[in-house]
Amino acid sequence: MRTYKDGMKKDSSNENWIDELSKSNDFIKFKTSSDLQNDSYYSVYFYRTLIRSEIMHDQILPYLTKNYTLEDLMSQLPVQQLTITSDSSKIISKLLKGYTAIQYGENKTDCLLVNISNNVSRTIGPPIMEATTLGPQVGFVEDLDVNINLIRNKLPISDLHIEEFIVGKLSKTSVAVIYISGIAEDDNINTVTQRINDIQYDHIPDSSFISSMIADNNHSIFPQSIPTERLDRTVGGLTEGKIAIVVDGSPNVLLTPAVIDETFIAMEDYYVNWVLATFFRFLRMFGFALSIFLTAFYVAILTYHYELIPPRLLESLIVSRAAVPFPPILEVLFLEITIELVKEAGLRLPSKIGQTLGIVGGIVIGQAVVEAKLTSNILLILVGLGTLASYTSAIYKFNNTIRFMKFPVILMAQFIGLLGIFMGFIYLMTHLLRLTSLGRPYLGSYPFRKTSFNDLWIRLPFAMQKKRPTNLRPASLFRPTNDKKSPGPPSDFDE
Amino acid sequence: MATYRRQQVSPYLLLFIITGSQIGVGVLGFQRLIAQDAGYDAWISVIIAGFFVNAVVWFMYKMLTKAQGDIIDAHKQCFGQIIGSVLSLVILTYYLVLSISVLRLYIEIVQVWMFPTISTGLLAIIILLLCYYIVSGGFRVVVGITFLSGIFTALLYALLFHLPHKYIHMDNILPVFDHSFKDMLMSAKKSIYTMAGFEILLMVFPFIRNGNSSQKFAQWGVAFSTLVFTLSAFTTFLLLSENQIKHVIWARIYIASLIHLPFLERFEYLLISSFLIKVISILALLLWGTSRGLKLIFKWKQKYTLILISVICYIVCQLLETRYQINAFTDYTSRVSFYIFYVYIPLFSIFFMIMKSGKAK
Repeated sequence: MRTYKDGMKKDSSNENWIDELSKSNDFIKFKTSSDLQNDSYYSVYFYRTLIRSEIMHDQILPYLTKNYTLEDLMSQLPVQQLTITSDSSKIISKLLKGYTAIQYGENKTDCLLVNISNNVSRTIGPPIMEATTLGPQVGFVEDLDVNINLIRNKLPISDLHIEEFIVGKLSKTSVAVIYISGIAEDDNINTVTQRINDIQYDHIPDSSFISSMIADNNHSIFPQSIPTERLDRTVGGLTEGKIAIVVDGSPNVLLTPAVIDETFIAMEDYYVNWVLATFFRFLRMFGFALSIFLTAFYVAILTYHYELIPPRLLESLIVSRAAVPFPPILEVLFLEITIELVKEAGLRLPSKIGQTLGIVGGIVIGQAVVEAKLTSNILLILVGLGTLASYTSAIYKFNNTIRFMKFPVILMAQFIGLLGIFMGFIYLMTHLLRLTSLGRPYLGSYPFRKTSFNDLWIRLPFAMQKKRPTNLRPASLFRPTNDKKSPGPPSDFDE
Repeated sequence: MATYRRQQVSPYLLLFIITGSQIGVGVLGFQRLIAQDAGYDAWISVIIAGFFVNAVVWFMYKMLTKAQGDIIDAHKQCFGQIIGSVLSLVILTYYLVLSISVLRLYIEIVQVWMFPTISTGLLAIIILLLCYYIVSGGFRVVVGITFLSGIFTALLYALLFHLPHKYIHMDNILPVFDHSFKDMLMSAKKSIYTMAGFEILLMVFPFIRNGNSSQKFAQWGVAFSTLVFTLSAFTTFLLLSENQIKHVIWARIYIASLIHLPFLERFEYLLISSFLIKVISILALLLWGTSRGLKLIFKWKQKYTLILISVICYIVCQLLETRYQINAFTDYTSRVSFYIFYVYIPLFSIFFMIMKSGKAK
């Protein structure tokens, strides 16, 4: 009987692991000689679906015609990663990773393990979700080793430490925790490794599983570690003292600990002038506030406080709303949910149909709704603006958060007007204040730190970013920077 | 004190705690009260009152640094378990009364200016639930909300002093020093309620990192709130004449309604709504202090003490119905505040210091 209760089924003993594995049809076993009297034959075992058969045929099988012992064979084979072992559980786990096991003669305990595994992964391409026009166009792929290779190539230093874990009782997913020792703080590293060690689950298909399993509060809708598929973002985070978690099978690398303000940072900020970068960052924060509170203000003002609007503006508002038969709250919910439906349908469809849908949903329905006098023109503008603004965040996971957050605020606005909006705001702030990421405060603005002005709210020129962000408690605070702000020649004024 | 190390906050946050708890709903309408005695010279009384607060804070620091703990520890060290706890309970009761008056006054403002028909209980329960959420996050979150409210109200005050120039009458406040010193002291006494809030220092102190040397932040905090109060009184007197001010209960809201922006009128709506964060930060601090004090005295869980005092807050708010009752309640609070913090606390800290130095010998 197979029991998966404590994760592993009862281990087969030395003799019967072959029988056990033979139950799968893609498990191949054969002997190089059919002559049973002859002792000098090899038994070869592998999973047909996991190995690269051309290497098997070209580089391994020719050597098996000669009469080497396993040790000799090990020095002869032109393949890397060869080991001899008699530990059956190790043999099984390696066979399942695409190794070939070779036994010599009647010796059924010692096995030569040859790595000829065939890892299928897509080639490295530009990042899809976090596209930028400037900067390197390298995104992570699903293969762990490729991703670590990319990171190691960018940071060729011996201080880049990688700790690997096997998570998931069934999926045996490799999880690598990467950090630069001497910059990342030990407490953070210990917390991450401890929490990853504690994970108990069947299978880990994606890094977001790890993200929610190591989160301080997994009821919160805010991402407490930043998932990114950009190599430059990961490397930048590592040099600041963050810890990267790479999960096999996931193109998204987790950066932790995180603060909410980081979701407004796009990598493009570092490839343009700092004034522009700061401007874009403020624009994104403004967009965040706008998308949550804009339609709520519409509901509050039209339901309770139309006195707030100056007469001239009120006139056009009233004219556009004159024929609408619904109260503002229904009007807003109707339109907001329509937009959400268009978004959701667009996401679930192939991209070509998605485009068509966008046109049908956005333009046709939008136009028709106004002409049918179901909503006002002005509301259509506001909802459109809010939707546009909700997509300015640099992290896709955070966009989902914003998408959801406006609805409670709209309901509060209907409940007690402006007061309700401010209550929603205070509730949001309290939630963010209570949140922590790896035990560090999640709201970047409190506790207030001077280094937040370096590279969190505004991006100073590189020469002025002398300190690493102190909210990460980096083990070494100062980064090497030039003293001179810019290397240009001095004018007569400076002399 | 070492036990709170994890929850301790940086000393500069004391600046926000003090100003945040002092500047509350009172600032919107205290101008009428102080002008009753000293007339348009009352802004000088505010400065005088500010100096008194500085002195009281100094006394508090003397006592707290000697006690190395909060007021409950100090009382216990001085009077023993039972009498000390009773005296601490008096102070905690005062905190509770103060929070009730802040909550009820704010609800009254909302009822008068924004929603005439909204029920007191409904608003109270929503605000108290929000406070529960904040306080249950611990001291760090309470101070965080105070910090944020400090930042947001700083932005608001910038707009508050955006005065409609055509209504300014410089001759309103001239001649200066036209009232007797006794009148000014009477006015200063009237501004006690507005200045109240810094008393929370007695509970907050052990949670400040390097508490002993943090006094300068507390004193600067008091000085800053005095400045805000003085400016607010001064500018109000510039706009409203002495006779007019007698009839305006919420002078600042009245003035705010004169502000016009191209996309916004009736600025007071925004002012009152955004004052919610101020009110909630004060309430959270006071409820945190009270529930923590009760927890320390009775060894109950803070969750239950917080629920208990929130329920009391809710019930008393319901009982205060008319303008007259609310006024009487705040007058009473103000009087209690005077006797506890301007008379008892200085005397107690002198007594405490003498006792401590006697013991040391």
